[in-house]
Amino acid sequence: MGRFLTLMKSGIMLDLYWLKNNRASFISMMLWPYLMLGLVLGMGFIFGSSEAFQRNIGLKVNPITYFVASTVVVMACLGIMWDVGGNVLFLKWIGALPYVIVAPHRISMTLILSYIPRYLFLTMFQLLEFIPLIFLVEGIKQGIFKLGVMVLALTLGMLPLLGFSALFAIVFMVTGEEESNLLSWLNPLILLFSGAFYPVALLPYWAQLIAWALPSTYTIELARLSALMGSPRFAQIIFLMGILLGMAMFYNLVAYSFIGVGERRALKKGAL
Amino acid sequence: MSKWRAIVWLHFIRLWRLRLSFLSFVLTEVLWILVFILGVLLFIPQELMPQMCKVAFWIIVGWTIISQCSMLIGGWVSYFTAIGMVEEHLLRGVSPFKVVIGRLIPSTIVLTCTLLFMSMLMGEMFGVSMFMLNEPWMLILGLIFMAIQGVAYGVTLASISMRTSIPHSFLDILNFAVMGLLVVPLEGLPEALRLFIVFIPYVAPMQLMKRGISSSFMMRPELIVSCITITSVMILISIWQTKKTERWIRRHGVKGVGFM
Repeated sequence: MGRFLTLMKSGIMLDLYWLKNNRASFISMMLWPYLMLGLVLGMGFIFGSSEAFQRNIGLKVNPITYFVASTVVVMACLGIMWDVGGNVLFLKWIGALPYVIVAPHRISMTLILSYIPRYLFLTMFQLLEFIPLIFLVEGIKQGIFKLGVMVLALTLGMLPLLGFSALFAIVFMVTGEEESNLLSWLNPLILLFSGAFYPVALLPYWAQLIAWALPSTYTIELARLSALMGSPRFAQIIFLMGILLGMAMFYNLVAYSFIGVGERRALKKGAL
Repeated sequence: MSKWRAIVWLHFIRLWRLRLSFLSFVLTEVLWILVFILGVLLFIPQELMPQMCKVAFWIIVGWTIISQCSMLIGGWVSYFTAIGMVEEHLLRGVSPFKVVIGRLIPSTIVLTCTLLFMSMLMGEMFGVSMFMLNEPWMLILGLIFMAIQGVAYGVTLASISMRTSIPHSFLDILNFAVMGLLVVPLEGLPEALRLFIVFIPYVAPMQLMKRGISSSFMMRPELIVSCITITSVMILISIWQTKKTERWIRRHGVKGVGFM
């Protein structure tokens, strides 16, 4: 337990110093969700209407809450995939990966545990940014309930995504020379299949099959329940929570089993 | 002349050797455009979809030109500086900004491939050709002005990055802000406000592009005046800024671009 706490503490210290030394990047990170939201909502309302939006979706939803939920989850998913999966590549580029591998902790544990504080801090900070907008659109009482659904989605959704992203870490560990980052195009592809801004139900059937295997799909679906007019049904929330917990077990077990193989192969091949 | 030939050669060689990276750029760009455009199209009634889909596509094209110029030209400076190439070029009497301008080659190729791929994809998805235009030459004129303004902006960003160490990811935010201006319908604005907005970079070229798509968008002489004036001013600013930064670097040395 003490070892895990040490890793989490090191993650917190790393982030505190990163924030202190990279204020411009931090400000840009905070501005991005509003800019993404502004882009989609601005263009949407200029060219169309919320009535057409509800007709196209086939649900009585508030477009602003719908896209706030989508934007927050999209930012969170991108963060996890880059910072857990892509971190191996970054460590490889700066020559620090061999040191992380020979450290007493398993690399999967280092990647995941040192990342959790950053995820919780940045995601909750981004959600806090949207509180005034949610209260304005939904009212305070409904707003608190809907923010609660989003917090639940962001917290539970993180668990399977950690394992899912660790699988990319394994791929980066065993591959040799990197010319470009696979994640740069895999990330938007995963978000597209997960129904980031466009509901999965409207995608072609083959794309829906891929969507159901991705943990991000359920995180987005759960967060989006908050956009339904009135209160979302508890049964739906519990159902999605169950799927996310099941996926968390599956992806984390798979990642935990394969990361050791990845480490051994990387050491054997000298692919570091 | 031989310096320019070497720069052009360098960028073609890089494009060939890092072809997978450039393919990845194209694919990434297409996917991000698709993620956003699908979200926007949810607001559009089915009966207006063919027309609006085309307008939304070309607006995103305009924005892609701006962001690509900032990312592939302005953003490349951090890499160029990190590997110590600024000093190397200065010592050999070659302006590092000339090398940076050479990034126009990969950015034009990436952009052209992205747009062709994206238009095919959108055409298949929504059954509408993105190239069925009202006045094609007007769209081309808008695209040319947009690209020149974008390059001037990218080069200016590159030189600011070298002096201030602000990474391009922060500067890229300006592109999102500009996006808001690109979608503003000029037709419904009061005369004075419209004149003011038209003289903001990128707005007039975008309006020319919109007119090229459909006759429902207005065309006024001040749009051409704005395109010529703003483009010239942006080019002059980029030349002045790069010369100033080069003098500054020779005196103070290169400042690293911040962590991204």
